[in-house]
Amino acid sequence: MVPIEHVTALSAALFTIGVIGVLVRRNLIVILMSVELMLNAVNLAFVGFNRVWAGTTEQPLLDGHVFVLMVITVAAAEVAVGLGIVIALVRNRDSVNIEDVSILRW
Amino acid sequence: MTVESVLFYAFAGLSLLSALAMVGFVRNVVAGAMSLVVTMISLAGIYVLLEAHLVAVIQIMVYAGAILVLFLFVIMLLNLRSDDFGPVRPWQGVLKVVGAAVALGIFVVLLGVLPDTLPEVAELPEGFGGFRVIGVSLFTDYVVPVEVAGFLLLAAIVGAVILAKRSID
Amino acid sequence: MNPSALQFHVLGPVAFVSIGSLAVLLGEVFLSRKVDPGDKEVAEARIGSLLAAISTVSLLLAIYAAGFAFFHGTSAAFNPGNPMLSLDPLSSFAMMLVGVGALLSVWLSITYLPALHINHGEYYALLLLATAGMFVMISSVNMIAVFMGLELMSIPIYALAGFNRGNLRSNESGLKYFIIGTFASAILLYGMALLYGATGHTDFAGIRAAFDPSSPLAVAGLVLVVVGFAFKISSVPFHQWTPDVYEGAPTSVTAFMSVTVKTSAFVILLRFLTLALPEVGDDLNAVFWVLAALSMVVGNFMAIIQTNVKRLLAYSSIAHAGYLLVGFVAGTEEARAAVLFYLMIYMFMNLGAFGVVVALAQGGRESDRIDDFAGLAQRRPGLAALMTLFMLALAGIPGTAGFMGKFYIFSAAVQAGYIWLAILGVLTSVVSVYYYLRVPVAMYMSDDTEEEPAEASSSELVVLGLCALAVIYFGLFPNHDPLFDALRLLDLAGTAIAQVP
Repeated sequence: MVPIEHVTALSAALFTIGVIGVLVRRNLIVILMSVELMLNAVNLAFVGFNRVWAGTTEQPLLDGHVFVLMVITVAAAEVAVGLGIVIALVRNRDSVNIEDVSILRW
Repeated sequence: MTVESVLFYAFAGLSLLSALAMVGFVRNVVAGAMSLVVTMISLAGIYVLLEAHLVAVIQIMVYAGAILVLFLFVIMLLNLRSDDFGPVRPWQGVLKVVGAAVALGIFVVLLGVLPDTLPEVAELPEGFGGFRVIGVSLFTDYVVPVEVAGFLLLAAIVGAVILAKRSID
Repeated sequence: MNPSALQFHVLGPVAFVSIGSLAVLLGEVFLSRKVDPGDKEVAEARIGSLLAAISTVSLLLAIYAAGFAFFHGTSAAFNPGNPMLSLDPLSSFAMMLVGVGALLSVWLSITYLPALHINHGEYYALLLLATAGMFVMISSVNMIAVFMGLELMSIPIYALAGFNRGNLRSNESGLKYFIIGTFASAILLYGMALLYGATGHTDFAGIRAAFDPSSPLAVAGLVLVVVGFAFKISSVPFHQWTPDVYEGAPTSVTAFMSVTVKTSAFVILLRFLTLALPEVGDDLNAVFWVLAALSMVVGNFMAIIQTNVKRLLAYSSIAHAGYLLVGFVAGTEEARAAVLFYLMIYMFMNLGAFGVVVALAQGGRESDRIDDFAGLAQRRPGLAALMTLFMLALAGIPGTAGFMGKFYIFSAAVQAGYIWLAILGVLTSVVSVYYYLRVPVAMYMSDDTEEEPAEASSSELVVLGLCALAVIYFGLFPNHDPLFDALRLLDLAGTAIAQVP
């Protein structure tokens, strides 16, 4: 038996690592990968919670699993567009450092 | 300890280590992408232990197979081997500490709110997490999100092409 | 499932817009096959107007479908076993608002895109897809549909913000919006996961039945969901991306996203709170109080130091998010109707203001600094007068629609007992008069320095004229006509709120 409370704790840890990556790293590609890590943490939470709630009714409850499939689809779409933006930027600028993205001030 | 829980802790430790490596230690972007692959494959292992078989397969095929390969393609295409070291500004160290502190705060709060014990249902419905059950429900109960996903992928294709194509005619 | 029980008309507005986007994509392919390389510019302009016409038709059909449902009081869900989308008065009213916003943005783009040399047909397809995503999000009654609609809205807008891809500022705008947007989506998703863990449901009705306000897991999930939406409505302290993205994106895109994204995010937040969590409103009020106060103060004071009209309007949109959140804090039915009314007024004021900036662009260059407006009154007295009107309306001067919007929101807040928040709103509105008036001052009081600006095209003039008409009409005659005036619209908004199941 897999301890579900440890599954959710693992997902919280992965989510936190992803947040740290987005806030701390300056390389755009690494920031994108950190967002992917956050989405993976979300998926783990959904699968774990679905395992808890499954079987509380007669019908198989699959909301969590379907949600995960949708998140994976969206992640693929996001990565495609995000990397497209990075490519357009690098063509114009030749850098993937987020610090260089600062013509626009705060 | 059963075999399942041993496997779970092994996968959990592996995913945590490789996630930390991706974010914290690795200066090389390609190595970072490879650590992310390890995280995703370990998570797929945990999904199998949680009876989410279809999700585990999709995780490996789409995440590890497609998304990470896309990352590697772009890294190679742009010829980005290592982290760009810009001029280090004085407030950057402070910002890092603040960012890490905020995130750790989130983690502590999350650990606090997550339930200590969750009931695990031993008896799962027939076919739970398999292709047939999920496939049928995707095209009946969840047909709207599936259709929306189709348009979402179309939007992503059009958007990626328009942004990254060399010249638009 | 019995196919005859499926209520396909629920999907009507979404279907019209998404089929329209396919028609635009296919139309571009077939139309541009026969282009003679000799007169590429002319041919592109003609194709662009044809695609804009296709978009106009599909948006008009969608608005008609939503309006038909609204005025017939339709209330139906798709699909019956596991409802995902619901066509009810609130969602159809909001779909009409978003549809009109998208339609006016399409008309603003017809001559703006050629002026910036980015006249590609994919623009209209992406705009329609984003509108379809907003429709899905607005009408959803399940967190899965909320998330899918949110992403179908966001992904085309990431691409649209970076659409001027030869321009570094546009690249950066797309990039910043993308990073912040995906980050916010991930936070929102974690909140949804926690709510699912706490209740075992993703549909609003199930969450409502199982929600336990004393469970920390559920409350944490709720807070993360609110934070995720706060990014989308650009409320302080989650606003930092707004000025950069608004400034860098092509102005027609900025106009589009500033009104429609805000409307959809506010409406889905309203739906989520009323349908899924009607009991926890009071506990969330403190959160919304802080967000509203911070947004009004920071937005209005940061706008003072801006030198770029698009950045100024970005901070003004943060401030307006604050005014709208005041209506959320009050939480009564009148206050929520006032929020819907204000969203509509805001759409006309803001589209008008951005429309003037759009009309001034020419030769691949934007004229969006306040200095570019110097002496505009001598060269283009009509445009200058319109810009003055929209600025006065945004500031909330009596006699314009902006005043009526603010009046209803603040009086609802006072009635609900939030007097200090209303006073703060009025005081910050007074501050806002200062920076809004800087643009008219530059137009009327400084000497002409710039070269001749572009002629406003007929499509732009139509949009500006409609917006000006709405701003004046709802401002001067709040209860003039029993059929169609501000009070009547407030009434309709109230209907939309009251009939939520």
